[in-house]
Amino acid sequence: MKIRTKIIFPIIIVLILGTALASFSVYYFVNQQVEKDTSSLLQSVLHNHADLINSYLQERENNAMVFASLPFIETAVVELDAISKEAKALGYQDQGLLDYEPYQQAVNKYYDFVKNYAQTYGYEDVMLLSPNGGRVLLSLKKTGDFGTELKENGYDGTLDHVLARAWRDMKQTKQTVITSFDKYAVSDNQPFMFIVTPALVDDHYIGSIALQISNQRLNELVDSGVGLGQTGQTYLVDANHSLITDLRFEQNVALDKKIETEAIEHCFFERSQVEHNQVEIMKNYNGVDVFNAHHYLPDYDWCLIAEKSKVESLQPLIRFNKILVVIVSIFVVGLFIILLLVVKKISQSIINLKKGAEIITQGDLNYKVGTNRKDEVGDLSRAFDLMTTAIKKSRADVDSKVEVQTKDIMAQKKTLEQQQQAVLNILDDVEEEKENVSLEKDKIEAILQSIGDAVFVVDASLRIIMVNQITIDLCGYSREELMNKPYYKVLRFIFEKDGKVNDIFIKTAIATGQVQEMANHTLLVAKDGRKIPVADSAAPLKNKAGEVIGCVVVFRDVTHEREVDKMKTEFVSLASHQLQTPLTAMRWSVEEITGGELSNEEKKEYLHDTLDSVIRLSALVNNLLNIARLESGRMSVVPKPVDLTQLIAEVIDKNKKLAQTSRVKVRFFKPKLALKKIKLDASLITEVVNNLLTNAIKYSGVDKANKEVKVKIVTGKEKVVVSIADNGIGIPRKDQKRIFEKFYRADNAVKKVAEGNGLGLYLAKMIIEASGGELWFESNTSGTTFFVSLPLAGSQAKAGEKGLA
Amino acid sequence: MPNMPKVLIAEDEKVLSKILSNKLKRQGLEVIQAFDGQEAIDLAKKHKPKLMLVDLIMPNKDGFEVLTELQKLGLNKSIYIIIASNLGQDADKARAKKLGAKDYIIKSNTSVEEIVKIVLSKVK
Repeated sequence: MKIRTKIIFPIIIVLILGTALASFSVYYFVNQQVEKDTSSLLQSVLHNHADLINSYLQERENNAMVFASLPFIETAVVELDAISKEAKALGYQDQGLLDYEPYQQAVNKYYDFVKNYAQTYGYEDVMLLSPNGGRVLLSLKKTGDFGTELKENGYDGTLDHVLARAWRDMKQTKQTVITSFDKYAVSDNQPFMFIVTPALVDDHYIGSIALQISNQRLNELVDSGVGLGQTGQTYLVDANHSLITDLRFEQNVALDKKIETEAIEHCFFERSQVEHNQVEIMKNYNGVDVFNAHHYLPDYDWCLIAEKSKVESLQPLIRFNKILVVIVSIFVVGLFIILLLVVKKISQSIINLKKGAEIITQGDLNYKVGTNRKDEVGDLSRAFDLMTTAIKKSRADVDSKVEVQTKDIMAQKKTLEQQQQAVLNILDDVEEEKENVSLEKDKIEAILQSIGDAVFVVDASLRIIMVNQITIDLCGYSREELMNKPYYKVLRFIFEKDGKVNDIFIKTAIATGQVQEMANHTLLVAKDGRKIPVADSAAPLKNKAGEVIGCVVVFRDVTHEREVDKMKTEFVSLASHQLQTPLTAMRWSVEEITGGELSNEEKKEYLHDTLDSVIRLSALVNNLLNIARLESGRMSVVPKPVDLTQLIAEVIDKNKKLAQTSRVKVRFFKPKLALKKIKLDASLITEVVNNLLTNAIKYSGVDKANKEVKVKIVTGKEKVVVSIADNGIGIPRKDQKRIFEKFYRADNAVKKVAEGNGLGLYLAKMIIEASGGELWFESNTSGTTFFVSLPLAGSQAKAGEKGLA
Repeated sequence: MPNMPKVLIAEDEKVLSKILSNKLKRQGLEVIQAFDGQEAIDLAKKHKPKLMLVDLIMPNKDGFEVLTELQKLGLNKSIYIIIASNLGQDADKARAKKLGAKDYIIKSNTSVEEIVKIVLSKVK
C-alpha cells in the first residue's frame, strides 16, 4: 500500500463514520421532536374538542331543566293530561287524540310557544309527556308521536326504544337522562339523541319534557380539521363502536359505520383512566398508519379520537433528510479533495527521498536530495543528505578494517577445514555402520517375506512394527493400513464359537514372556468381513537383557486343513459302512451254517453267499489299497505294447453274464483300421474299462425296454479315445461336479441301484491320469457317455513299490 | 399260518434279508421282505405287520424317509419298529428314535441269533 493510500484511507473511514454518526444523531433528535410535536398537537386538539362537546351538552341539559321548570309547562302538562284522559275515555286513541276537539284546541294553545322554543335552540322536536303513562301530550310533529304511551310501548313500539328507556330511567330517578344517538324512525332514520327532564313543582313530579337533538352541532364541533393539517381529523364513537359524528372525508356515515380499531379498543378498555397522554402510531379504520390520541367522555360513554397520518406528520422529517444528505455529501466530497491535495504534496517529498536513497544504494554517494521545504519532510531530506556525507566518510575507515578482518577470517577458515575433514572421516565410519544395520534389517525383512505363514510383529504397546506379505494377502488390509496401528484395530482374532475377541494369547505372551498357542477354532476377520479360520502362535520378542519388548505372531489359514479333516471323517464313516456290509453277511452266513438248523442244500447256498461277500470285500479292499497307492504316488506303471481293441473285447466278454442278467445289449464298434499296439499298463487299463462298462450296464436304461451300451474306439493323430455310452438315467447336474470324488454316488444312482462303493470312478480317473490320459463324461437325462483318451505314444513307465492289487 | 405275527424286513442287501427271513420263518413267523424303502412303506400299509426291521441305507427311500412316512401314516404306533443298520453314529440313533424307532441294532455287532431273540420277545 502506498503512503498516500495509507494516509487517506483511515481519514476517509473516520470521516465517513463521523459524518454518519452525526447525521444519525441529528436525524434521531429531529424525529423525536417531530413525534413530540405531533403528540402535543393531537393532545391539545383532543382536549379542546372534548371541552367543547362537554360544555355544549351541559348547556343543553341546563337549558332543558330551565324549560321544564317554567310555570307554562306545569299548566300545559296538567291541562293536556286531563283532556287526553277525557278523550281516551271517549274512545280517542293515539294520533286520534287530535280528532277530539277540546284536545285540539288545548294543543293549539301551547304549540306555538313550544315551537318557538325549539327553533330558538335548534331542537328537532320538543315533547311534553304525561307523568305516569309517559303519554306524548304534545309533539311538534303532529303526524308522529301523539298519544303514544312510552310506558306501554317498550322497545318495539312506534316510538324509538331509546326514548322509552330514557323516560323510564327518568321516572325512576326523577333526574335528567341523556341518551346516546340512535336512528329515529319518525325522523327519516336520522341519528338523534334525547334529553328527558322531569318537570318538578316544589319537588313534586307532574310530568316531563323530552328534547330531540340531532348530531349536527356535534359534527360542527368535531369536524373542524383545524390545526390537523391535510389528513388529521377527530370523531366521536359510541359504546357500540359506531360513529356518531361524520368523518372529515366521509359525510352522513354516523351510525352506519363501525370503527373497530386498536385505538377504540384501548379507549373503551381504559374507561376508568380518563386521562391518557400517550400518542401512538396505529392503523386507523382504513388501515392507514396514523398518530392517534383518544379521550373518553364518561358522562355519555363515548370516545373521542384524534388522528393524523404518519406520512404527513413525518413530512418535515423527510424534507430535512434530503437537505441533510445533500449537505453531508458536499462536505465529504470537499474534504476528500482537500485531503488528496495535501497528501500529494507530502508524498512528493517522500518520493524524492526514496529516489535519492535508491541512487545512493546503487553506490553514488555524491547524490544530494536537496530541498528548501520548511516542514518536517524538508528537515528529513536535509538530514538524509548529511547522513550520506557521513557514510561517505566512514566508508573509508570501514574498508581498511575489513581488510584486516578478512585475513583473520581466512586463517580461521583453514583451521575449520581441517576440523571438517576429521568430522567427515568419522561420518564415513558411521555411514558404514548404518549400512550394515540396514543390511541386517533387509535380511530380516527378506526372511519374514519368505516365510509361508502369516507373520507380524508388535511392540510392547501392541502396535504393528513388521508385517509380511502373507498377512497382507490374508487380512486384505494394505501395508500402510497395518503399520504402526494397534494390531487389534486391524487384525481381529475372534473365537469361532461366540464371535468374541480373542486377544489373550498375544497379551499373555507379552505379559509372561512365554510362547502362546492361539486357541483352537480362532477366526481372523478380514477387511471385507470374511472370517478365515486360522491357527498358530505368539512368541514374545526379548531384548538382550531378556525384557519383553514385543511379540512375534505367526498364523496360517487352515481353511484347506479343515476341509481335508472333514473329508477324512466322511471317508472313514463311509468306508466303514462299505466294509461292514459284506462282513455282516459273512458273519451271519457262517453263524447259520455252524448253527445246525440248516439242511445241506441250504448250507451250500449260504457258503456261496459267503464266497460272494468275500469276493466283494476283497474287491473293495483292493480298491482301497489301489487308491492309497495312487494317492501316495507309490503305484507303479509298467507299459507294454497292448492291443486295445482286444483288451476291450475281453472285458466285454467277461461281463457277458452281468449284461445278460441285467438284460442289457452291449455293442462294440471296433475301429475300421486295426489299431496299432500301444504301450500301456494292461492291468490298469483293464481295471478302468471294466469299471466303466459295469457302471454302464448297471445304470443303463433301468426303466427302459431297450437297454443298450455302446462301446466305440476312435483314433486321432496323437490320441485314441474310447467311449462307453449308456442310455440310462443320466447324472443329475448338481452331482456332475462331484462324481469323481471318493465314495461319492449320485443321488439317483443310490436310489436305482443300491450296490456300489463310490470308489470306481475316483480310481479310474487316477489311473488314467497316471497313464498320461484323460477321463471325462457327457450326461443328460437320456444317458451318459464316458470318454477315455490315451496317448498313442503310450504311457510313461513309473517305478513304484506296487502294481495294481 | 394266517394267525402268525407278521414281521416285515426292509433290507436291500439280499443275502442279509434272506438269512434273517429264513431264520424268522423257522421260528413260525410270517415274514414279508422289502428290498427298498418305497416297497417297505407299501408293504407295511398293505400287511400291517406287528414288527419291522428297517435298514437305514436303502435305494429309492432311505430308512429315515421310511420312518417319516410311517409316522405320517400313523403306523409307527401299531408297528414295533427296529432299526437294523451298520450306521452306528449317535446322531443317527437319536434321529431314528425321534422318528419313532423303538430299538436300534448295529448289524455287524449283532449275531442272527440275538436279532431273532429280540424280534421274538417283541412279537409274543
